[in-house]
Amino acid sequence: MSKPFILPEDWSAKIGRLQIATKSRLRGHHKGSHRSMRFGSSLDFSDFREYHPGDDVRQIDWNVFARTDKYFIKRFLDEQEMRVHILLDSTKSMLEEKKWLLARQLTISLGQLVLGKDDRLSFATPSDEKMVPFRRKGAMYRKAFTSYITNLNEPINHSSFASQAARYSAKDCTVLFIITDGLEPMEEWEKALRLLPRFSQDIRLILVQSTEEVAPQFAGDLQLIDRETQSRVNVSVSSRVVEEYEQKRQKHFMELDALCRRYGIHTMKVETKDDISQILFHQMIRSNWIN
Amino acid sequence: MGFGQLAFLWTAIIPITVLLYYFFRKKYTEKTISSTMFWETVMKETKVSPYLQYLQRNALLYLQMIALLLLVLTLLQPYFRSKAIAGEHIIWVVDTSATMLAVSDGQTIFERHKKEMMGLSEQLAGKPLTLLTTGEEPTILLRDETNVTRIQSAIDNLEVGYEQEHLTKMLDFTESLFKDKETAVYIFTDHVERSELPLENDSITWFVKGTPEQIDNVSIQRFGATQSKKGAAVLVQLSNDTGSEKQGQLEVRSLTSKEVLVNEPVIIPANDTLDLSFKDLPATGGLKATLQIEDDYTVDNESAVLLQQQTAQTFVDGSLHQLVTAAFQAMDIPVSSVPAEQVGYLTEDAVVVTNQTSQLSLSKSPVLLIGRNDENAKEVNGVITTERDDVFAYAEMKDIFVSSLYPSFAEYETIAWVDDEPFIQRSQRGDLIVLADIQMTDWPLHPSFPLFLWSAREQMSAASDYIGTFAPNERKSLSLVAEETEGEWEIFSDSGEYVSSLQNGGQFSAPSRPGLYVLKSGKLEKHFSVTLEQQEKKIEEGTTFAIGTSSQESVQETVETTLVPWFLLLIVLLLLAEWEVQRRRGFTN
Repeated sequence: MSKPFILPEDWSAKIGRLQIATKSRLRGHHKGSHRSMRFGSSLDFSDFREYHPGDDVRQIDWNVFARTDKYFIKRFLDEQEMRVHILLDSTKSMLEEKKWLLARQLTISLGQLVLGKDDRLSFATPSDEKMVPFRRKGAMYRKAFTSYITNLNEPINHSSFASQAARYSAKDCTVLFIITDGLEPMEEWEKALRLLPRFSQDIRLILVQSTEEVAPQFAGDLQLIDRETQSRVNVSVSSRVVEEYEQKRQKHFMELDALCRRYGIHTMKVETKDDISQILFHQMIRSNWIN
Repeated sequence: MGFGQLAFLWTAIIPITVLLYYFFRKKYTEKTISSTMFWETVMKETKVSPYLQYLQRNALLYLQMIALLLLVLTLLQPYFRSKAIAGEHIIWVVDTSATMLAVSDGQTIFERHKKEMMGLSEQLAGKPLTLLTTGEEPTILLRDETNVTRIQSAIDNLEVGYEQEHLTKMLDFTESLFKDKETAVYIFTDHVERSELPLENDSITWFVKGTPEQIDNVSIQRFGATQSKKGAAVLVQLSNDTGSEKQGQLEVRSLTSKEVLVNEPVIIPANDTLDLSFKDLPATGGLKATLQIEDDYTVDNESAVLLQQQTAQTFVDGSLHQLVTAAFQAMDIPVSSVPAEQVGYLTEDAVVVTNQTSQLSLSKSPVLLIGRNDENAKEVNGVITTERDDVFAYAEMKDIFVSSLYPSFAEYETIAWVDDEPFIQRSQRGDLIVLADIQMTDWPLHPSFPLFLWSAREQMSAASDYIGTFAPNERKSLSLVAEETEGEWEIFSDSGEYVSSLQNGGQFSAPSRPGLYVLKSGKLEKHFSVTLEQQEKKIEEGTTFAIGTSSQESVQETVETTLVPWFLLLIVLLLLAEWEVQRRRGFTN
């Protein structure tokens, strides 16, 4: 059952020129399109070096030898692949339509950026059912990834995302994207974020927030039901209550930010009211996540 | 509690409607959100206790319900039945005579009455109260007063005035206050006979609060002293009103030297009097008798007397013009007319008014000489000028015409002149000499003439520093002229305590407390004493009873005090509270 495409038709073309920027040195061993600091077999010339016994004689630049009567080795920059892993929070709290949509749009966009540059992309989302994780390399899988994400089941995961995050992340990835709403107790985040730096040097936490969460437009007497736990809270909304909610929320995310800073994790908050292009072309570029 | 308008019960529909509306109102709208994490913590803080939170949530309803229920109650016009004094108008007559100070059960009758009044004041229930005190001049302390605080402070300030109650006068005065309403008159006194009360008016109920039980009283009934060459002679009459023989100690003390002159044990038989006399006591200015005895009424166990001459009688020479006698009579001074030839034989202490110049040297008592029978008059013409003197305190002499004058006495002090000729003179002894016959002047036609005679008599009859004996609070006109610099007289008690002051020319009013007093103005000093009236030395026990139409039913009646204002106040407060709740919640929800 195929669902309608959740991104504009020309989206992949639009973002085609962008690529993930990272300072992480951890790369895959396969050839890729990213210039690496190592010397390798790409076509890009780096420099000359005097030959020392033991060097590959095939790399001696004979033209230079002819002119200088000395052995020089011509070196080229290596091109290596980038391994990007995207971890999507699929707990029920993400179920809110706009949040889930935006999360998937972000996943597809990032995935296309990765695949478009012939890098290796892996994708995982914690779920109860056994799922074949998406792990592909190369631009040809862009369509496949798009439809894979588009057709992703609606989140039904009951257990907390933070506690599962470590289990579903890939080892030795250059960049690890975590897309979540961050609505889990601080202690669980603490545990998860302590483990994650083992998997990658460059972890990026994208916090998807719905407009309703940021500024609740509630009124009257409400019984609020938690999507995940089904717990009910009776709230008689007043400006005072909203104000207090606001404070609690800000405190939570400030603590999360502080936690992330401690473990060297980058964070970015995106709101459902913002357009995906706005997020990608402004927010992410400005914070140097992509270029 | 009762209701005045039970018919308004139908308005109970209003709160019921609101209650029903509340029952069918929308419950909590369910709303699914991503996470209730923050809301839970927010609500956890608000949720002090579930009960309180419940209250908080429904505060508006409860407030509305209470307000509406109160409104319904208010429409039913609730009232409280409370006991109150019967009658529409209440008059309290408070006896402030000295006998009220008799002690029974450790407190004076006056205190007991005050307490009872305090108690009754609680039951007034807004009825107008008139509070009177007895005395020579009945005083209205409160007239139609309904303010309980003011009533109670007036009761608090009540004091015994020592003067006798003048009950008949008081009752007449009280009757003048009656209106056409049901009136309850309370008389707080010691003894009133049923027959003394005017019972003609049907709408009046009399409540008499008498002295509860037998009060033992032993008094100094009379205390007198005379001064003679041998010394002072004292007469004391002690009276025992009790049914048993009483033993005590009588002490007579000199006021000037504070020396105890007599100290004798006395035994007074039951219901009898004991007369004691003491002679040849050392001469003194005044005496004070104190009876040390066990009784319930101590005010009359002390008496003081000043041993000074006070001349009572006035003799007028029969040969003088009739106008002189008439002038004295006009001032209410009893005079005796004496034939001219008998004037010389008067032995009593008296003021003699005559024209016989010889009397100035012959008479032992002061003489008011009007005209001279030993000289001829000379014609004069001019304006009268006077010295500042007590005799002119009330008498204005300016407009008097004097046609002729007799020659003056060179050695006497002149206090009035007619164009530099002496007109009125005073001898060293205090005699007054008017150097003109009545016929020679138009003075008798002026109002100042009787006033002058009165002042002159007052001055001559009293020794210069003794004014007399007064009843408590007695008012009397005295010819007193204060020192110019002071301008007023001040009354001090024997112990030197300031009592009151008296403007120059004002009416003299005696202090209420019995005892000796000094009237001072600068260096001038005059003594007087205040003594209890005889009636106040006897205490009669009296019963407490009620007479009148409404007394047959009950002393008290039930009064319906409406509670509507209180309910309305509560409703307003509730509305304010509602408004506040609404404001805090925000008007939108």
